Amino acid sequence: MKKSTEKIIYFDNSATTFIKPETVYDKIVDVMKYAGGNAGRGGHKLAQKASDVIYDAREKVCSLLKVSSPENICFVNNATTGLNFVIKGILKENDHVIISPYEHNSVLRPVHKLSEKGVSYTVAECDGDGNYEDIEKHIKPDTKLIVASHICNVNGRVSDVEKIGKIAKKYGIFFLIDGSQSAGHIKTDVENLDADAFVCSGHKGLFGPQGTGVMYLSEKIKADTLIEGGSGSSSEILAQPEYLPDRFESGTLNAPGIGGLAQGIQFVLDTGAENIHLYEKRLADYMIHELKKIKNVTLYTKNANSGVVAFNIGDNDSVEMSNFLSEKYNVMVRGGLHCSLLSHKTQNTVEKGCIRASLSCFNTKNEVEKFLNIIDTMRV
Amino acid sequence: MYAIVTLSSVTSAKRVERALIDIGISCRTMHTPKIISQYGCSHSVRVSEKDTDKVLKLCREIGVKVRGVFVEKNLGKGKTEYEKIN
Repeated sequence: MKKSTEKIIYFDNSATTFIKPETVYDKIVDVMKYAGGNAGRGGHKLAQKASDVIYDAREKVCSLLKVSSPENICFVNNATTGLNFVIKGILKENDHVIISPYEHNSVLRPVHKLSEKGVSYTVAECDGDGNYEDIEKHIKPDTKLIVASHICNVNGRVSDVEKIGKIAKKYGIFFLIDGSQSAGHIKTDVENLDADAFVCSGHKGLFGPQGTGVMYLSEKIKADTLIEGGSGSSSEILAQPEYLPDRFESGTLNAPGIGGLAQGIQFVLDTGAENIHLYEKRLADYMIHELKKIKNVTLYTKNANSGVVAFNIGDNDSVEMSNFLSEKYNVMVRGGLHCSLLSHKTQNTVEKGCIRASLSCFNTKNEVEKFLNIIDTMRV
Repeated sequence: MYAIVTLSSVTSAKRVERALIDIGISCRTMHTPKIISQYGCSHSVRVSEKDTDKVLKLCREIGVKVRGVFVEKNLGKGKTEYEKIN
């Protein structure tokens, strides 16, 4: 593929991080060239090397999420798969689930699908300030699961998952956190958050390649499987293994991708998630502060809690604006509904969507300033 | 002589291997020979027979389930016999 010489401003890190640490690219190639066996299949040296790559990655995830046992970390090919595994693995007919009003379709759609088979769900309501975390009023005797996105992928709002976790624990309800937008951006100490399950993308804040994701399951969760197959263990038994991670890792793992993911996580560990958060917040804060001064700009992110800023320019279609920003100015943002109908319903932007600028620690103030100048010229 | 401590998944095997190396016990993970592998396929840790008790103690401490322990006997001409000791 020909390298582009065009300079771009990439503000779509909530979709996927584009600039990765160099070690991530190097490791992917390294694994393919020198550790290219199939992890956990066979015992030859190359298979063992691949197994080492995977295990190293599990340990790094443990360090990041403050999880004590690597067996509780399952690699999935993206967060959507992991969320489906947990939601569909736990909920049965006549169960009830509570979800936040900021859920991505990767939560809403499987829940909706299950509602066709006798599972009921409640979308927690917001108060006037957009808070929804007082969810006790929604709990019923058959409530089995509560799901909350840690950071909203549309407007960057950070949910008080600690509060929700305490409520879930009080009532003995399983708690699943969708950490797709939070992992790598803010501290995620899953056992302290009383999370029974935590799922995240590998290719966003953890800087891994696309095709990677992480699913943490506590020992308390006994989820049914959606996929059964070869696990490299207990092959004489027809049933899928009960033990983790094999139960949810049928088929060949993406060793090069997971190797790259491990390097991305190492970058986050070395840099410090708190430092990344502070940096992104500062940049987003500056962006919000300046956008407020531009006439005709409507902001949906009032305060910078993360690196995500949602806004619109006049009455313009958000997708048209985003396309224009790319074509004329080489600025990459995302318009539309961001696969998150609920978030847009909550912020009342279903009709025209909104423009989302999502920053990473590789973005600079200089880029934000250029972006603001461009928005200022577009406001008319 | 060597002992083969059979476990279930490669993840458990790698976990035990790393933990043993951390406490100075030489070992390596291996694909369990079919003849001693419970349920068809599994992964093991191979250690010096004298370290067997330490390995079992460590597995108990870190919560890894051991399926069995076998002493490996080399009969020569590429043949190996396994004696179950646990």
